[in-house]
Amino acid sequence: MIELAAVQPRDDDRVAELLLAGVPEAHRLASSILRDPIGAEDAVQDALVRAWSRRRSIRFDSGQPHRWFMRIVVNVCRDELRRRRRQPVSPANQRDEPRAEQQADQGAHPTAGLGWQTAEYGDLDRAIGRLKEDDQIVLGLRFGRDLTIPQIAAQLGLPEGTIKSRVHYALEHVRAALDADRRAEER
Amino acid sequence: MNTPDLETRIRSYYRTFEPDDSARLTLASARLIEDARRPQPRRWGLQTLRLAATFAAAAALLAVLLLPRFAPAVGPKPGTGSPGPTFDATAAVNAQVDEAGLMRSGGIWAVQGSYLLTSTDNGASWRAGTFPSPGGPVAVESVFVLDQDHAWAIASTPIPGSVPTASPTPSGQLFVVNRTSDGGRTWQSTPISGDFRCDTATLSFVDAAHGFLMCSYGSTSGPNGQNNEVRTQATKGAGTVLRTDDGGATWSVAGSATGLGSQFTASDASTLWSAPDYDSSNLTGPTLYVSRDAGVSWSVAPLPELPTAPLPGAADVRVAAGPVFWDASNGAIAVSVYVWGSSAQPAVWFYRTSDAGRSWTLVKQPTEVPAMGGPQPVAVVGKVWAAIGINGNAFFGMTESSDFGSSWAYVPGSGMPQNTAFISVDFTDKSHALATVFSGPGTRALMLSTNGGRSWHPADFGDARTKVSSTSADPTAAKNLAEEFETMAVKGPQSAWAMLSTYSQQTFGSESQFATAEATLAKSANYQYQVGNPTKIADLSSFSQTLRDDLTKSADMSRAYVVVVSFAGISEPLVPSEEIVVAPIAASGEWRVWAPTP
Repeated sequence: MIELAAVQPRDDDRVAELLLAGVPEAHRLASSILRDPIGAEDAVQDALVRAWSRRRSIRFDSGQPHRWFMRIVVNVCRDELRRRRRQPVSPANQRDEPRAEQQADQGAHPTAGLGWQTAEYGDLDRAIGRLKEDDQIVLGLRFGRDLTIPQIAAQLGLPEGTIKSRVHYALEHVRAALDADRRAEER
Repeated sequence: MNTPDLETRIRSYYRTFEPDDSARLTLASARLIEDARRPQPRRWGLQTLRLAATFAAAAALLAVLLLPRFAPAVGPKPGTGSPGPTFDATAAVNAQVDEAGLMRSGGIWAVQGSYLLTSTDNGASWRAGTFPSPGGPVAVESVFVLDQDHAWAIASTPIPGSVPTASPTPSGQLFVVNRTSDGGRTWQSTPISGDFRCDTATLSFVDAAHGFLMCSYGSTSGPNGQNNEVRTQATKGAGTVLRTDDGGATWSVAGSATGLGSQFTASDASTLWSAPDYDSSNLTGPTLYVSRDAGVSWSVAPLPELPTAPLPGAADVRVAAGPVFWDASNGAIAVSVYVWGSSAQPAVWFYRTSDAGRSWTLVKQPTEVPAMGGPQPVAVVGKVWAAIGINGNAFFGMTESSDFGSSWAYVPGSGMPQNTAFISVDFTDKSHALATVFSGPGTRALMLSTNGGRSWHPADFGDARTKVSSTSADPTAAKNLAEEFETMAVKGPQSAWAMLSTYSQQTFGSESQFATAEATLAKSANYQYQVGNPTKIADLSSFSQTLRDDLTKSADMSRAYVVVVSFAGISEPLVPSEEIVVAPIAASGEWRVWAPTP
């Protein structure tokens, strides 16, 4: 038998419904990981396209189709973090033009997406930006989305021990960077 | 700052990134999906059937949506002042790859979704075959390409939520090793099972018959994480070596040892090298292991002056390149050492051996490498040549040594995309280099150089991909090709155009007419681009003369595209069902029509 079930219109409806319902959470998730609500919009759209083209792989019977989409979001964000790592964040090259326009549109919330610029969190921003992508992801899930270790483990499909140590390790790195920052200032 | 304070501050920091609302994004997303679904099947006059157009229209749907967002990211931008060519973004669209490297026999390989591409003339011409990816560009777990005919691949399951191919289960079927001996025209699979753990599988073959597979898992930290105090409680990673003597058809366990890791290579049929990966290195120390009896027993190969375990909490020590042997006794290996911290500099340490790796000597380290948050890609080419790709705010070039480490020179490069850096770099000889770089959001391009890295250009795979044939015996490969084309078209309609058959291109006349036709068809079309899982091969002769004529007229028989057409609502009496998958087969010049059984 041919396996076209997942691309039948009926299932497409289900997929579309699933994806759209997930957009707000995907947006928050991507914002936390990328630390950039505007860049997160791009990431969510990329994830939607990726998810749509792979909709045949959704298992509705798995009980966790929602998680499937969120994992795609995480993967897209990882790619983006990796790209940004090669293009270190600085006010000069942080955003390309279209994003700057969108940002102007937003206006209302002056700090949104500008955490890296605010003096208050500049040190944290640098410290977290230097972490490995996967460490940035767990920090975003843990402290941005306030997920528990078991929730993160389930979301990423990794053992709880791995998540626990990754969070711990990431925090240690952040602390070391903050210390180094402070020492540099004192000098 | 104590831990609770730090965590509280981090939470507050993350609050600043909470989006105000997602209404605008949700609306845009709804449109995106709606557009993707737009070509709903309607009644369809067969006389107007153009397969290429059908194909293009569907591909264009997503492409049109994406291009405005995608193009600025890859668009040519002014260089950073270095002379030479600027990045050719259009050409780079066609140079997208998942993975690329050197064939053991020399020459370059690249995996692009469902294609395996090889070149033995430094990228001047390419040969293409299929690659067993489970659909679309995927994370490639392990590929080993011996020569243009022989390749092995363990493709990880890329789709989140689906069943992983390589699972960390302690027993049962672990994964599947795919192999080809005809350059990717056909692939055979061997499932591997056993009671060993296999988080990462790495392949290395010394010839068409003899190869090895390292199944490893990394170290796990102690109960309180990877800090120094509890490091002694960490569980060391380990590896199990499998060997084959029949080209990968059958595998048996050769041996296993604690400490072995995914950095793995066989320098000959009995000598194997392995090093732990990043996390393991940090926990257990950077160690190079060697086996001289084809994986049965392992011992430590001494690399002098490396830090000893346990390393400081934030460090990165790993084998960066090699070991490479240019004769039975002489070889080299590069180890990257990066100790995290404000003043830390990543460094690459080169070692040489003249006694087949029994002893290693540290050679001079280059000093021109700027500090940039991580290890640099490294190439070790031979007895006199080594190079380090330099990352930075933008592409900076490379540091190269032509006397293997005695002296180093900075070589600026041009032609790379701005704000990117090497993912990997390698050389086929002193002049010819290949590099993979990020060329757009989530995409990598294969870049080539003919002058030792001074200038770079995107690889041009030419029409190699259009000559791929998938045999009727392998509907999965056909399906993968279709999915791959869909994805490529999403990434850029230029590639969709480039990959159209000559016939189809002539039909449209020009790329702009093609684009116009796409746009028109996208609005009015009554067909849908779909990929099924064809299981039944129908004979074209079972279709009406009208349909047969149309199919025959509409495509170039020498091309091997897979076209999926929805025939919903058609009154054609002899069309057996609603969806038909059509794949012209290059070799025989015949059509295969897969039709679903009702």
